[in-house]
Amino acid sequence: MKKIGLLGILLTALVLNTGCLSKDEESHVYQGVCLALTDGGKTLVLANSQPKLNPIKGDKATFDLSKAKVGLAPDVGNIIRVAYFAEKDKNVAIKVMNVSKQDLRKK
Amino acid sequence: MVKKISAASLVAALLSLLPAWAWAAGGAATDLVVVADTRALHGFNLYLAELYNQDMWMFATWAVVLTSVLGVGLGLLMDLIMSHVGLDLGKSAGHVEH
Amino acid sequence: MDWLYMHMPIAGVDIFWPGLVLIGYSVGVIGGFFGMGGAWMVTPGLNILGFPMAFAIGTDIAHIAGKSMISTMRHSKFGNVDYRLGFIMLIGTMAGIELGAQIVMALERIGRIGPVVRWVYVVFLALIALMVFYDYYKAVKNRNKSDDPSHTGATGGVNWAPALHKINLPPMMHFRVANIHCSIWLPITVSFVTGVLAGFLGIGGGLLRMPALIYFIGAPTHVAVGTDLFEVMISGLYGAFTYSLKGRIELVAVFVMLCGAAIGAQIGTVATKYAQGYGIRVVFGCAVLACMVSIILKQYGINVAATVIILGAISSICIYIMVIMFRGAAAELREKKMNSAGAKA
Repeated sequence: MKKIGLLGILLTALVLNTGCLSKDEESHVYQGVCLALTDGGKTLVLANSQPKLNPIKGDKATFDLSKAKVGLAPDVGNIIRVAYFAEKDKNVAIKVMNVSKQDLRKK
Repeated sequence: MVKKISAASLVAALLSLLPAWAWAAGGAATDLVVVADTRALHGFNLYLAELYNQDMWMFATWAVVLTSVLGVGLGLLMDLIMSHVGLDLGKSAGHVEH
Repeated sequence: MDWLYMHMPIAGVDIFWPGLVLIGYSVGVIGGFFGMGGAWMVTPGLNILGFPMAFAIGTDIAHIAGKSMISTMRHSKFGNVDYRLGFIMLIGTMAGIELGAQIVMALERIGRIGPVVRWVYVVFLALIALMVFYDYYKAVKNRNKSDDPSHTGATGGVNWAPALHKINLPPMMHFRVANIHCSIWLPITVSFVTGVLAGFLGIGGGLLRMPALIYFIGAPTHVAVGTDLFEVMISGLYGAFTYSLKGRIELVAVFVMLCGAAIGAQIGTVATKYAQGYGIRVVFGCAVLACMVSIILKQYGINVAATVIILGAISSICIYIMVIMFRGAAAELREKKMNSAGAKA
């Protein structure tokens, strides 16, 4: 029973911890066709190919990749999925997935 | 004979791993990054997927804690149900289960 | 038929959820009944249902961790753990699991993970089937010879432990509970090797670690059982953690399977009370072979047949065990009722 109690305490601590993530830090996901990768690979421009699902409206969106974990390199024309934080003046990407090149279902 | 087979199975399983090892070491390496698509998710799935995208350490800690809690909780619940039904598990548990 | 498919939020695939419940349930029944194994069907099963291979392995290892928590608590075998040996082995086990997981990730990076893991599984399952059928053959042979007083039923074979204990590589250590004195590198090496396989295949590793503890390290069987259980639990949790950190785990699937496994484990464990004869071993061996065939079919892209065969095989073995359980339980309850009626009269 001690083990269960310990797990309960750990769980509560985690709930409190994750509850501390403020709304400002909520991440979003955007998916679109790669239009350009500029600034030595630090800026990614995606066309809005799924306007109903994507949280950023407009024809295209720009992401700052300087802090992002990038998988298979995006090429123009590839479908790219980005997880990002929306800051005041820019979208800071956390992770970049190349959906076109990385079809996990075939693995 | 069983001993021989046990030892042979261990060695053979390991040998079958060797080509995998060599392959893994030799190929061109690019990390595969997975972004969970949170755009059409709700509730617990949305929470998990957002955590996955944002903070892998927290996600991993959650994964271990939730798995353990669920494993223990469900096991205890089932023990309770079985004892109510009248089948005493204690008498039959003369073996080990992995 | 959309309602039969469940969306996995991380891998992004839609999975036939009754198959998921069935796999979890079967692992519970088979694990509970045979006292070992079951994880061998999860990774191939998940892959056949549509999980990417790395996700299948990570999800399998996490599910085993959850399941082993309760089995460890229930069986309370910790009295037989050689903790010194257990902790020394943890070094090897955890390093091994990490290496196994790194090999999986490396294979994923070069795009060869699916075929490689599938073929390794084919070899692994063929060996399990061989062991099961040989065991059956031996049991039948012994039964036929039981009238012969000169037959002891002992199995011949090589116990490698005494030879391995002679390796004088410092530091040497005495393990009190197991009553062995050997180089510290022996348990570390054995646990590392079994850990690599557990991490690579996404299994608990008990199937390999148990014989290794007995025949390579020389631990008595009861200490091997307890120490192995301790290793499975810790290594499962570490495996779950490292695969989660690498992002190759689908928690929703783990939860669904655990629900199935919790019910299945009870049925399997209760059924052991009523099981008689050796026929069940043949059914088990056939299920292993069917699983092997379905992996080969998946490798050649024949997905529907692979799904039907693996789900059919595990359903058959579950039904077989459930029939044993329900028949036995019904008889026992009837007997209890009659006894209490007799006592009242």
